[in-house]
Amino acid sequence: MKDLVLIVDDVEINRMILAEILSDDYEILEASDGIETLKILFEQKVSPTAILLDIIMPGMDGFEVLHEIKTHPETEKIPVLFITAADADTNESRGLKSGAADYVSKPFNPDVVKTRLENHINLTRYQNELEELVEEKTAELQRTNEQTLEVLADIVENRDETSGAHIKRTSELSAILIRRIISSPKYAEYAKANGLDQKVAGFIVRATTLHDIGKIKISDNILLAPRKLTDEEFNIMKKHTTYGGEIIDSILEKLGDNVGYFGYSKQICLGHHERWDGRGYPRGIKGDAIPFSARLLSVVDVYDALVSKRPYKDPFPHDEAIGIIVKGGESGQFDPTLVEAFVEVADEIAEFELSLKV
Amino acid sequence: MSNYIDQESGLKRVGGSAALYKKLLGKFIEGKYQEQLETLLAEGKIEDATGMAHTIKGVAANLSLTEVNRLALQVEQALKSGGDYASLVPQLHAATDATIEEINGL
Repeated sequence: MKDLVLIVDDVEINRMILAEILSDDYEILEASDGIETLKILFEQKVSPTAILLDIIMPGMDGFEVLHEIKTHPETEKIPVLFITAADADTNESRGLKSGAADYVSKPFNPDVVKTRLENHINLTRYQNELEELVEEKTAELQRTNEQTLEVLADIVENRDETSGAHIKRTSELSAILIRRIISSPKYAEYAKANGLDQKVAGFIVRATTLHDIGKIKISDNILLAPRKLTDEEFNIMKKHTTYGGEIIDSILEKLGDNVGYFGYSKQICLGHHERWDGRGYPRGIKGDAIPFSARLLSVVDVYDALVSKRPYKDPFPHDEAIGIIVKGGESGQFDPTLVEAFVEVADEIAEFELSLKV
Repeated sequence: MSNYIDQESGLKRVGGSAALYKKLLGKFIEGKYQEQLETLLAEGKIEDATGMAHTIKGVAANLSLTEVNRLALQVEQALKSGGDYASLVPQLHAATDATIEEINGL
């Protein structure tokens, strides 16, 4: 199939000449003014491979049309060649500065018009291919890194049967809670203060999977003890937070944070047992000093522990667990804003739990 | 050898098709550009007249209507710079008439 070239010129003779010059190699579409051009591009959604655009036209001139083309994402990559008169009054440099790829001068020299157009079409195509290739390679790298992470999470999972499903549930619950924060206008300021946007939210959710990675350094007799831990054992257990931070640090040293979320993983490992009132561990930091990602996971982590069966306890029902989280908020364990949002998504959480039981 | 039309270069510019070239020359006559220019000037619409002179210049260049091209450029420049276009317009008029006559004789 031939490429489509849009010729925009208010003078029919000029359009006819260009059409004749180009018709062997291209499909041709013509427009006689700026308004018609915008209609073709944005209403009829025609997507030409290149546009030849006259500068001086009644009504909307070529510069205005070019501006529209270059400020719409669906057309910004289309190469535009200005049609100019080859005497002293031309606007060639202005045209090139405002984003025109090139220009063809009147009187037309057929070979020059053809060659310039072809060069720009090829150049644009080459550029688009390169961009696609870079995107593809970046995605590939990202996938590789994520697979590495999954392997890491799997190691933790296989160590301790309760944590396997726990990792998946906490990451899903984090996603539900974080979605509430970024989608509800009432939390807009809160989200902004915590640097939250779609991208960061995605990173945090993925980063949560590593929150208990430090447990691989905890011995079996403590990690797998089918009973409540002694104080001494519990003090050792608490170290999984710092161990997690150290493990992520060693990953960062070797890989760098090219997946973008190891930084969050580290915050979460270190901070998910801190308390809003400063009475948590390992550092005893409080309030905003605890990174948002860690505050978020701490709510979700406790909730999931409550509704899960453990060797030393039965699962709490959903409603009761939500009640305990609310009390936890009141007593200073959690970030109150996160507790508020968590209660608002309680139904969604209940649905999610139900879906797991099927 | 014609003074008004450089047929050889005009034919080349439109990709070598004699039929198309003749058709385009016909369009030039139909366009009544000179008439439009003079009407705009009579109405005092200098800016529109400048645009029309620009159009004539471009079309004439593309069709290799050498005299019309040369004079239209002068008219356009005179209109832009506030120069003496009044004496140039009749010259362009005459050149246009002569060009049309030549086209009709092809």
